[in-house]
Order: sequence, then C-alpha cells, then structure tokens
Amino acid sequence: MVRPAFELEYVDDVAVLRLLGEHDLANVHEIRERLGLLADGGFPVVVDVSETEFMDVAVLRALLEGGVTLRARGRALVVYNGTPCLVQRLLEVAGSGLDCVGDRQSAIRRAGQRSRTES
Amino acid sequence: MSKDQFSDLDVTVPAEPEYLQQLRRLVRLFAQRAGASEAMIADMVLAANEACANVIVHAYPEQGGPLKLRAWETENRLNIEVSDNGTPVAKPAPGAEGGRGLELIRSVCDDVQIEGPGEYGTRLEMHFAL
Repeated sequence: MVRPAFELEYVDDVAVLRLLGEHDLANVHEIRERLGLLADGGFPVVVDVSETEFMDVAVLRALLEGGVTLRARGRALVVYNGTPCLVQRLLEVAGSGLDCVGDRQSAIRRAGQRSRTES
Repeated sequence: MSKDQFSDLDVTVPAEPEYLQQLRRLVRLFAQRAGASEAMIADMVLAANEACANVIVHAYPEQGGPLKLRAWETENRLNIEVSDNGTPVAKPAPGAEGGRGLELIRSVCDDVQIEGPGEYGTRLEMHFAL
C-alpha cells in the first residue's frame, strides 16, 4: 500500500507542497488543513503532484478551494504536474480551473509573480 | 471454470473512505488480468474510485452501509458496477459539489448506466471497450 505523504519546502518565498503516494477522500482533510495553514502563512503555494501516484476529485476540489482562499488573500496557487501519469488524466478530464504548469521552476516563478500581481 | 469467471471481481466493503485504496488495487488487478492497456486501466481506476466515493459521501448520510463493487468481462468490453443500499438522495447538478465526480465518470467511460437512487439504493454500471 502506498500511504499518502507530504513534503514542504520554501523556494524563493514560495511554499512548495509535494504530494506523494495516493491521496483521496480518506485524507483530503489533511490537504485542506495544510493549504489553510499555508494561506494563513501568507506565502504563494505550488502544489507538486508530479510524483503523486493517485488523486481523486475530492482532492481536486480541495485544490480549487485552496486556490480561491489564497487568491482572496492576494496569493496564487499553482499546480506543478510534471510528466503524464494517473494524475495527468484526472487533470485533463476534470482539472479545469486549476493553474497547471509542467515545469517546476516555471511553476514557482509563476506563483511568485502572480502573487505580486494580485496583492 | 472459464478464464472469465476467474477474472471476475465481486467485493463488498463498508462504505468508508479507508477502503478506497484497496478497491482501486482490485480494479487495477482485474483490468490487468483482462489485458487492458495502461491508459484504459487508469480510466477504469479513476471511474471506479469516483463511483465508490459517491456512495461513501451520498448513500448513507446518517449511518453506514455496504458498498458493492463488481467487475466482469464480456465480449470486447470490461464492465464495472458499483451499488449501494442507501436512501434516495438528490442527484447533484453538473458542476455542483459532487457533480464533478459523475462528470469525470462520463468522460472516461464508453457508456454509463445509472439506476436509482430509489427504494433499493443506487446502481451505477460503467462500460469500457477493449
């Protein structure tokens, strides 16, 4: 079984939250909590799903809601999705509304730039 | 017993989120044994997960109940059925909370049939052409 795990790193004043393993309805509350804490911290956020083995619509909804919360505070949420995988398919068919970027550095730069624009 | 009977999947679990990962494993294994492509396996896993998640979220608002997952192969297609014995609930509007899961299911399946919600719960059948 691949347990869901999180890694958090700050790069150029952007919080990069990496989702590892499989994330679904069972742990979506943890994702909401983490995004809420990051929004409170005032940092723009990149959610790195490039090595996420699975995520479902509940997680997608949490990311969309997290983006709305961050935008209300003048910060951006950008998704770094990397190479095609199960997550890629989910983003293709249900991910409209998320700001997805395929390159990590570009995602970090974009989150920082958009936050400056929005604040 | 035929190869098809060996490949069939018939499992009942409590409608709780902790079972989703195991159900995805079983669907993946079924699809692999049936010879589905990786792209098709990904779609089947996504669709089955969303159907099961809908049962967990919507079928038993007051107390838990069973979630039944079946999968079987017929000529040129793979089939998955997710059913519950839950109480009737309002069908979510497209794009509304809960509606996105059903939209995803319709997007990745070749055909979807829904019976209910009714007196005996809801049955959702998904078909994937081989």
